[in-house]
Amino acid sequence: MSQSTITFFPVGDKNGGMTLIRLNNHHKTTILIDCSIPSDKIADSCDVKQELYNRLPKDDFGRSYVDAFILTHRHDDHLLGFKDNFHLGKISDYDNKSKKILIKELWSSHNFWKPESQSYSLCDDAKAFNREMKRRVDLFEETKEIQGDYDRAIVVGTDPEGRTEGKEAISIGIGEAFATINNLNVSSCFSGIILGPIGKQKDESDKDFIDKNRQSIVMQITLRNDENITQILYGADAEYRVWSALEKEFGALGCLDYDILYIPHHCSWHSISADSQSECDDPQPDAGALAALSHSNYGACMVSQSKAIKDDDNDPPSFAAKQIYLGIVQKEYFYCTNEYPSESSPGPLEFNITDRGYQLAHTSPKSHISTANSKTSQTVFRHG
Amino acid sequence: MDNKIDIERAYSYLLSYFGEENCSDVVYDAENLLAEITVQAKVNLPQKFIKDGITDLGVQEKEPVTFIFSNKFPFKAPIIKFRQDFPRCFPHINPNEKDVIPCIYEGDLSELLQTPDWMNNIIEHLMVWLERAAANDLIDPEQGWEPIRNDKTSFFIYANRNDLYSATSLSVFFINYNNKNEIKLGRLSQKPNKPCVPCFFYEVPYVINDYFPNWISCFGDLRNLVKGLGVTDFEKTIKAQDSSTKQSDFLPICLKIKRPYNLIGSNSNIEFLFFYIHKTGKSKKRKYIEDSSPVELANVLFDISPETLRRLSNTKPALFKEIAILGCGSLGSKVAVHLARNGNTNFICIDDDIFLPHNNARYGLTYNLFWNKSINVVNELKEITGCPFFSSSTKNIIEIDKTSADLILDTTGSNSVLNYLISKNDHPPIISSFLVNNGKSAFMLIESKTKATALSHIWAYIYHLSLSDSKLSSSLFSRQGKHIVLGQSCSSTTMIVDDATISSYAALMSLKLQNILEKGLNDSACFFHYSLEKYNIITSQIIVPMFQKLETQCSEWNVYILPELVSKILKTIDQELPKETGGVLLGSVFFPSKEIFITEIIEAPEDSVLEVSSFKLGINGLEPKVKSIEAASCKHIIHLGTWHSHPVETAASALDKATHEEMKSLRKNVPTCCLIFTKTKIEVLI
Repeated sequence: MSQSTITFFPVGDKNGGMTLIRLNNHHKTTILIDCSIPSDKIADSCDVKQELYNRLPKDDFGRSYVDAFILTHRHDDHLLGFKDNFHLGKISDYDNKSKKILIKELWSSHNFWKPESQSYSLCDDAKAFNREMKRRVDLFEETKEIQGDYDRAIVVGTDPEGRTEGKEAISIGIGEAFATINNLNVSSCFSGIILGPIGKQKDESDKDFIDKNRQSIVMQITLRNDENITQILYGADAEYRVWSALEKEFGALGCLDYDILYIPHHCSWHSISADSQSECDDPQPDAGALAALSHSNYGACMVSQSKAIKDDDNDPPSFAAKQIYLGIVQKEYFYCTNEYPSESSPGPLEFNITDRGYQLAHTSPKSHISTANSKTSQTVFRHG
Repeated sequence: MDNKIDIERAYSYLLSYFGEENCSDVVYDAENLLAEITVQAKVNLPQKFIKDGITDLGVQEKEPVTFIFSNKFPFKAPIIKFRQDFPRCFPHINPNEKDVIPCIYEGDLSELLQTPDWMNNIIEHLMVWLERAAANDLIDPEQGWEPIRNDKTSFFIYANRNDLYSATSLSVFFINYNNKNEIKLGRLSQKPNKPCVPCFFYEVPYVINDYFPNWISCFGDLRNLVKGLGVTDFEKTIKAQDSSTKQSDFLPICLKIKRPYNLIGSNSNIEFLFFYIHKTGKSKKRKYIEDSSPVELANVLFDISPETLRRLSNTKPALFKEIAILGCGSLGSKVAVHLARNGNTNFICIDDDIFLPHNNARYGLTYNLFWNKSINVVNELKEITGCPFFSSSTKNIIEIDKTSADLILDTTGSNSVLNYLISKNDHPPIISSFLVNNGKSAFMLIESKTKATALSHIWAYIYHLSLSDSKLSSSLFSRQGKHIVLGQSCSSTTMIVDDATISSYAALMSLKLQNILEKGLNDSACFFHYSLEKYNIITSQIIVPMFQKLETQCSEWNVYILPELVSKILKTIDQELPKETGGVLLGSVFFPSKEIFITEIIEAPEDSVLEVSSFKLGINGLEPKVKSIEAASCKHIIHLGTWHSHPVETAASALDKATHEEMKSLRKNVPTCCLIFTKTKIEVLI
């Protein structure tokens, strides 16, 4: 691998999010944003778990690992398979037979402190995630020292209840730039700026504010190759109100510029509009949100990590939202993970980061033998 | 073509990947020897070029690629050809071909084709190649920098890598050749050896990040290239060099270029480009270079070197400055060759024996008959490594006495050499390896880093272990060994063992030796015991514990005891308190080094008398016990004397001293020691 890469994986029936960034630095730093590892193949074709493992580095003991796992928010579709596929707890408790992925550094918004309540449910994977995050933060709290690999945590944003105080060494605030991943300065090929979760807006209800999508980590990631930079605006599931506010605060600063836009919330209508599609006669996109998502650089593309986008009432992904995005980039620059390279046979959507911008990686030929084996073993053969 | 079925199958793979609309039909040539399929490969262009459909260097979004199948397919991979006007500025395009033929795989494409995914492997590599060409990223730092090649040249230069690396802009080397090959194969040397031509070096002052294929065909091209690389005064100096080589038809020059990464297959980022400028201009007095003078890029072949050998063997340089190899016989020569092939140098090979015809039975190499073995081996090592740093001594180590080496490897299997080595404590650390019992077993004894546990200590411990380890005992003391006499003197006996067996041991020993050369000796001594069982060699490594040195008043002998014995004795003393108690001491004696190792004890016989202030050692059943140990160890473990306790902290009594003297007299000066144990110390009478 002579270039950094970014890989968007196809998702299951409930949408989802999982993006892998592999840097071309000496250490070959690997960053996984969210996880969505369904137990079944996507469209009977793509084994997401296998595709992920194939791309992960292994340590000297043959254990797969990521240098950093960044959770944007605690919805089940962004944590699907977390408990089953990642090692949680002390490294000394690692079971070699489990083949689970090790996480050297775990990133989360301050929301991991927010406990489950009647009005605020958490899936099992989110609970497991919170426990692991707390374990790591507690270790820092006890020693006041940045922990080693597998015990380190990074908290994004400022906790309104003051729990980030005294933890500045392991915190990154909103509007803050970062270029350290897994305790390593990776600025030669990577940097980022945290744009969200932003604070409560004037017209925003408490209910809306604490919504998990609303609390998504939003970042602008910059991948460098020589003198060229490729900017990725990573919106997770942030909705229109966030984008509108971000436009006001960061729009003029270049922090929303992108070469690759991770279309927020699986291309939902709500991510770009306050108007309800079912209740409003002529729903329109929010001007601020649209402006925020329109800072495309020359030749920019968009990625909707979602189910295939059909001309129907489904939302997300919303066909109407896609049409809005197609007003920003041309059709050839719009990718939907579950339609790439084809809806019947989706596979990981991967970009190489070259010194001439992003470059879509070719699709490898399907192994005739594997296809034959798979088809044969999935078919019932009758015998007389 | 009788392989049409295979070609049709390959076609189905191409259809499946590129789609029907992008694949031509299979076209067979008139002679039915070749088949062609052309596909339109869709290349994902980088962001900046997507709109234009073509990159700045000319790679198109749709690239026609022709697969040419011969009648040897699928045993021979198809040739992959790009359009004629495909940009040739990229690395990994086969030079000197009329067609544009990319090199899509680091290896043999035909081999790649034989793997289960068959044509898909070729398609995958092709697409990666095109993708990287579109991003102008065909040089992969992990693979290395592609050197500029000229596959069709008839000029080759054979050079020493170190000579080349040391060259600067001021360097002048000589290309020596013989008249027959007319400079086609020249050897680069710092010394002129007629016939020869001088070769001038030009060092490019900057790191050159751009790949360029070999487009140089005349001197004008070369001048522009060199100028573009930032070499100043090229024209001026080349004129002077042209004049100084009036009689020559050629002027060779070398460009030394620094690249951003190491070159493919090299651990250096320096690229050497040798150009032969053919002098075409003619005047009455001389030939000279003109702009149109043809220029040819020569290929460089490097001498073998220790660095190359180390890269091929994945070994590291030795930590030792010089290694003395004692014995260049069957085992020593094989070990020396293994280590040299790993890129180790600086051996001093010591052997006073000559190579006789029967030695051919067990040597990996053929030598000059009647030459000294050490000279033969050193010559061979120099050839293997391309390195002169080996020396030989035709004397025996006993005669040489001192060596400058910082590690000694004794492969002589000679007891006199062993005893000599043991006798001197100013030798560097020693590793002793030898075969026993007709090659059924072998040993390698390794002293500790500081020699605190030396060969004699290891041997004493081996003898001790042999009493309880039947395998070890049978390896050491078996009487089944057969020898053969090949000369007319008694000294010409040799062991009967086949070459493969010795090679097997030599290979295993070399593995460990290489590890030692790279990482140094350990703090503890150890020995390896190899046993040949059917077709396996069972290897066991045993760490030798450090003996406890006992303080004595005697300056002649050093006395050591196994620490475990001390514990055992102290336990016995405790059990018998307040009475005195005692027992018999056994162990090994090394006369050359004047060392006594106490390794065994025999409890006090039943008829011993234990009192509060005295101890009388009985004799009931003692003699058979001592004899059995002596026999089991082939007299390497002998009765050494006695030990007894003084529960009250007192020194040796007059009686103790008298008994010791009596014992010495009875044993007729065989080393005899009596140990007196108190709570705090061990007193030694010797």
